[in-house]
Amino acid sequence: MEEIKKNDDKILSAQNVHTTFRTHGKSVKAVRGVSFYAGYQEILAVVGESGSGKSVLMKSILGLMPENAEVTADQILFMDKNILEMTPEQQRKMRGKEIAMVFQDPMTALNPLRTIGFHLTEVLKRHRGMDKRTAQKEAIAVLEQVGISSPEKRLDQYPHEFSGGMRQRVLIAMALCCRPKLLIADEPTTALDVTIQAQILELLKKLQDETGMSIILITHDLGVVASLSRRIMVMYGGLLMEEGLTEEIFYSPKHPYTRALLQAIPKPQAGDRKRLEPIPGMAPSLIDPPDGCPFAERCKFACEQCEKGIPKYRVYSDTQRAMCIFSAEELDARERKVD
Amino acid sequence: MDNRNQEILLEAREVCKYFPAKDFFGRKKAEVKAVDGVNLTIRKGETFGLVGESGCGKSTLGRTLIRMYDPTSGSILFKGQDITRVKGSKLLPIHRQMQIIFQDPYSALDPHHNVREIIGESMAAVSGIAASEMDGRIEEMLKKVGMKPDDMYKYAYEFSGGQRQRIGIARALAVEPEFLLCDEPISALDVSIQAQVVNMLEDLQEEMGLTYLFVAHDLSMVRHISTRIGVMYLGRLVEIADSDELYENPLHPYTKALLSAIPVADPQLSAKSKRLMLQGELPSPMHVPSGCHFHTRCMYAEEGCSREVPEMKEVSPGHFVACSCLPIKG
Amino acid sequence: MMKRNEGNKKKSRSVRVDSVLLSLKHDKAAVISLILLGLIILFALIAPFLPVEPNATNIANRLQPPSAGHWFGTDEVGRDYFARVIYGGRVSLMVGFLAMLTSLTIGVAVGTIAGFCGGMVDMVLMRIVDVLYSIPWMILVTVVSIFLRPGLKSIILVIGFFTWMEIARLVRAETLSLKEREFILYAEFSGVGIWKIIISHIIPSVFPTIIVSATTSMANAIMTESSLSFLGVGIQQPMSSWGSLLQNAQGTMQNTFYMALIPGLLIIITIFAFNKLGNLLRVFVEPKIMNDEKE
Repeated sequence: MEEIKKNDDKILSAQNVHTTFRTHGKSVKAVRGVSFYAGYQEILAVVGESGSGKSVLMKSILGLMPENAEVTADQILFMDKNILEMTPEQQRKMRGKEIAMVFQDPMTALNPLRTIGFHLTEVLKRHRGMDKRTAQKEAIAVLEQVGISSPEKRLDQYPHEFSGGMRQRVLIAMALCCRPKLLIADEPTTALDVTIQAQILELLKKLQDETGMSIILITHDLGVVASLSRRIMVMYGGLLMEEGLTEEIFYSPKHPYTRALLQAIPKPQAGDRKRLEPIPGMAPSLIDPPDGCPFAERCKFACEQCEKGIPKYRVYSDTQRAMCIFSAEELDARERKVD
Repeated sequence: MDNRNQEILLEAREVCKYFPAKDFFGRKKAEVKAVDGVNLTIRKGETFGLVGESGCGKSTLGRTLIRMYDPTSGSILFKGQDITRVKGSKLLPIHRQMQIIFQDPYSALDPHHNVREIIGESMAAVSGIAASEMDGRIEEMLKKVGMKPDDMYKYAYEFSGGQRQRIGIARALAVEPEFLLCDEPISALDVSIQAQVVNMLEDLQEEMGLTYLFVAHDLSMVRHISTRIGVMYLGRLVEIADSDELYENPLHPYTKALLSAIPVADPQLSAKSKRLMLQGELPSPMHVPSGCHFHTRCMYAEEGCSREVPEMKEVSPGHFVACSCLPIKG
Repeated sequence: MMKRNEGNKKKSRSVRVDSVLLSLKHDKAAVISLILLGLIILFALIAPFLPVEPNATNIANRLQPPSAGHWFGTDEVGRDYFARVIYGGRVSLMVGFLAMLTSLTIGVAVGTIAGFCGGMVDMVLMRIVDVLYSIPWMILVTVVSIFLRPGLKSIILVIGFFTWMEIARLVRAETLSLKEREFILYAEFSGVGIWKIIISHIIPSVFPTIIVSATTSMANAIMTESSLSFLGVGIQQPMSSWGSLLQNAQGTMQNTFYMALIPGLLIIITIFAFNKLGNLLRVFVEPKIMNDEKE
């Protein structure tokens, strides 16, 4: 077990990240000034729909964006080391050893021509300098850790012999091989069935308990997040709309988008047949993003001021802040008036 | 909400759909039993939700019922008429009354056709409507799904996922069917758009007197939209009940596990709820376990479960379960 | 949101033109070769109206170097080489075009039917393709050419009938994957007939492949014709094609290397330009199916 750090220390912090990349000849401003942090030994959820910039944000921080992408930031610190000042070689080492990433689609992340054993031992040999025999033993241990039965037999099997859930476990195992301090999981359960999803989420929780690593979980599913994360960041239109502790976000959301999201999903315990409250309209284009708050055109509380410029953050507690010109009380008042 | 007195619109009796898995020379080497003996009835005006995980056969069942696929055995009755063996052009009047909307808005519409052609093609083929009336009807449908008549001349790629789904709905409803198979229509959409589409489907159902078979894997959304729900596992129905009854009082072990696996969007509630973990992996549909398909992963499994196929029994009005071990303790 | 009026057909066309222009911007070689190809085609088309005479022999004037009166000099029997080259281009391009059309028609028909119908039909057609494909076509074409009366028609037919297999395979592969797409399933479900589905749904989707294949096919046909004529079994005198000009130039390479260089260069430029054209056409025809980059 690694030394326990206090929770107010930050394992990863980024200030003012901007990412622009080109596609189909157009410039997409995917991330437009996001500052956030992840603490030691905590699970941070990054929630947002497609086009919100959540994946791009993480990839930018890790240096995984394509060549033509432009990533700028005031500062990106990982365990007090400034990533921006590292050479590509140092970044690469860090990526494998200290930070690991698990992607959404296990089918495309594994080489179909190589055995599972190969995938794992490769990582172990490269990042922990093990020889073949030790690597194999370690690979078996890691496969057990992620709940794969008969791991010795599995080493010689190929990805296509595994089901979706198992492959996802293998990816997590590969990530764990390096004993990373930070694990970034990009929509790890989206492609999986609900019962398998539950197993994987339990696994992540268990691993976090056992190893003390931090996890950043990127997802669009608020339900997944409720039982797992300690803190949540809500992204929209390339910006961070609101962040706070999980209970704060679910029980007292301060931003109109967060509130709208919570109202658009069917409530589990509600036997009611109340109409769902959809969010009208569509997400803004990031090729030509609006000048003001990106959510303004779909927000039922929006006023002229909202479109003038990106609002400043209102800080509600040590842990919660929201980017909206209206305070939560003002929103409540307006809500009552509408009803 | 009580549809029990309504007429039966669609009935399935021991419907099976098997797909042969061929080897290199084209000989049948195994069978994928996608649907393996399903009985159900759907009444006019209701929304029957069909849930289950990958490989359970729910999509296949839906498509077989609307005769997009030919059933391997069993019988299907629509409005009392046996449509199991109908073939060729005789299927057209049936397809006018039973339509489908698809999951993937990107492969459901031909990217080389504009909206007018997309909706017009099936209208012309299925309903034989007069060419002069077609444009008018297309405009009307577009308005019904919340789009503009101008959109007729645009191509599918100019629209977002949610809008494409609306076009798909307009296409299906343009021929004025009575029954609509919704084959996972919202799975590929963003959460905020899902609610838009679901509300629209509910409105249209009321306006046009439609009956839905709603196939989905998002259990929370299914509860919201369905009157009754059927749970499938490896080609068979394991439980059928009214929507609320199923969620509040699930009886089959698989249903219980499935429901407990749904992520609860409420931190405190989620912490309190007990997760019923399923052991093991889903068996391959090519090698379905004998007897009760679920016995290999069932925590209550007994000896007889691997031999006998459990029958679907009505344990309380409207609540059917296929399990030999009821009542279950715990 | 901007209001869209009924000019949407125009809008989608301009998106395509924009993408083509963008591709061109980054590829100078393509631009140059296409301009040259344009000129070559232009000259080939207006040849009958030009004051040049490809068949007028004048032994006294043989093998003259380029001059004011004869821009490319004269050949071994005193004919104006410039005229020979232009008319040669005319023949080469025409053979290439017609052979390409032949092989395209056969290939697309076989490919779509095999792919869409599947089963026995598919198997039989594909075995035919396999057999034809496995014969080295250069040899096949040469052997057959020797048995047919050498000449323009034979050349076109021979090249057309023995080069359709690749297109058939490509089209079949795309048809196979298209067949599973839901909009095709829905068309079948709605009772749309097989031919209508093939023509209305499959061919437009396969079109980019067809277009690119057409240009490659054209380039190959020109190459094949040139080779055959070079070997003496293609175009016969007094007609000339670039290939036959190349063959003739062999004898006098020592002193008049330009007589080989010119048709050779033209062949290379033409083939290169057609390949580039294929790329551009693909960009033009393919609608911008937005790949949603899920963030």
